Amino acid sequence: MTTATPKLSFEDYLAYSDDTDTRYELVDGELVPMSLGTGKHGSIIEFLYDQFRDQINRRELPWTAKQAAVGIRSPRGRRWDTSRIPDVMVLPLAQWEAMENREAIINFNEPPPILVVEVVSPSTKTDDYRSKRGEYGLLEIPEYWIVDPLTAKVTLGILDHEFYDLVEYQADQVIQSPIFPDLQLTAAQVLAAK
Amino acid sequence: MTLTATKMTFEEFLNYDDGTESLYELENGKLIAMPSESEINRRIAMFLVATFLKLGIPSTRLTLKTELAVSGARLSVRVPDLVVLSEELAGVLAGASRSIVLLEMPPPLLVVEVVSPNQEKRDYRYKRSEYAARGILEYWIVDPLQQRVTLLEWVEGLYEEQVYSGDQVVVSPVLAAAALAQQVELTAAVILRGG
Repeated sequence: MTTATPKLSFEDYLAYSDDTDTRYELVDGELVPMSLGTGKHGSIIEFLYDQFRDQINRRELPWTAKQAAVGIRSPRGRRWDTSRIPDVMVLPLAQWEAMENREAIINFNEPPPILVVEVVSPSTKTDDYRSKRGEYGLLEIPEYWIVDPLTAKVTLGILDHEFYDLVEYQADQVIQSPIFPDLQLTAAQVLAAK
Repeated sequence: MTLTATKMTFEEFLNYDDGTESLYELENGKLIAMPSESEINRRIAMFLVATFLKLGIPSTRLTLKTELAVSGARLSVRVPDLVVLSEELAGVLAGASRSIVLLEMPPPLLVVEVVSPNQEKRDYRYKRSEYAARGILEYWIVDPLQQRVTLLEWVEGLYEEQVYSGDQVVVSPVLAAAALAQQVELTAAVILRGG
């Protein structure tokens, strides 16, 4: 691997600003710009965000949902110099409020969020299905949704002892979410979000 | 969320001494005593050491019960049954006062766990995630209880799984690359019998 640019520490990353609006993930000490997804990508994120918020409100849960607004420091390789920003995150309201005056990043030794979603794009496909599955599992995030418009399927990772068992949903199959058991969504509905 | 008793930090773990010879793992801040080994588990580990030596892997790159720091939700420490070190890692460890692979060191090439009763979740789930995140190229789960050998190969951040039983020949890319001598055919049955 060639490393032309010096690696960033996690602290460097927190303080980093290049005077643009580009948001970055940190992967093994390297800045990875978050590309602007397709319109479809954005529609799915917004749709799930609305659905989760609706569930939270109906059941009066002390949770909140955020769209790519919260980072999570992730174990990977030799150091903790990776920060992921999931497309949608559900977390306790108190945890979100505690970040009001600091960087919105869940640091290590902090409790995990409740649910995260990644919407797959060609450039993030491998990470979404592989590295992040490992990392989010280690972080003990109870539920991980991988929404894949490329192959028209929604995969739910259900955590058991730090490792996700996967359940795939396609077409008219109704997604069974242990976190949101009242959701009545088919894979097709999620993938057809406008 | 319930607040459990104070969690042990990595530094506390390194300094921990209860005056016994017991080996401990640190699992997300919890101290876990290593169970004593059954005779079959010991035989399997020793047979694999002997086989790896026969394949030409130098003894300096094979280690039993070396501690291995891994990232869980917190920093954890595992004590794998058998580890194959890279040449680079063996060099880094030479002269160390405690045989522990720290997080900032290169990852081992291969880790073997021989499953003990009631340890299945640890070996098949926790460690599978931890070793993948640590970038360990191959993880073998040798399971005398279920009579199978699971070979996990690291591919782009996650393990691909291959399960062997009976007379099936175990195919290990790491061994093939590390071995100097001629390949020996290693079947699941022979590994599970311990030779």
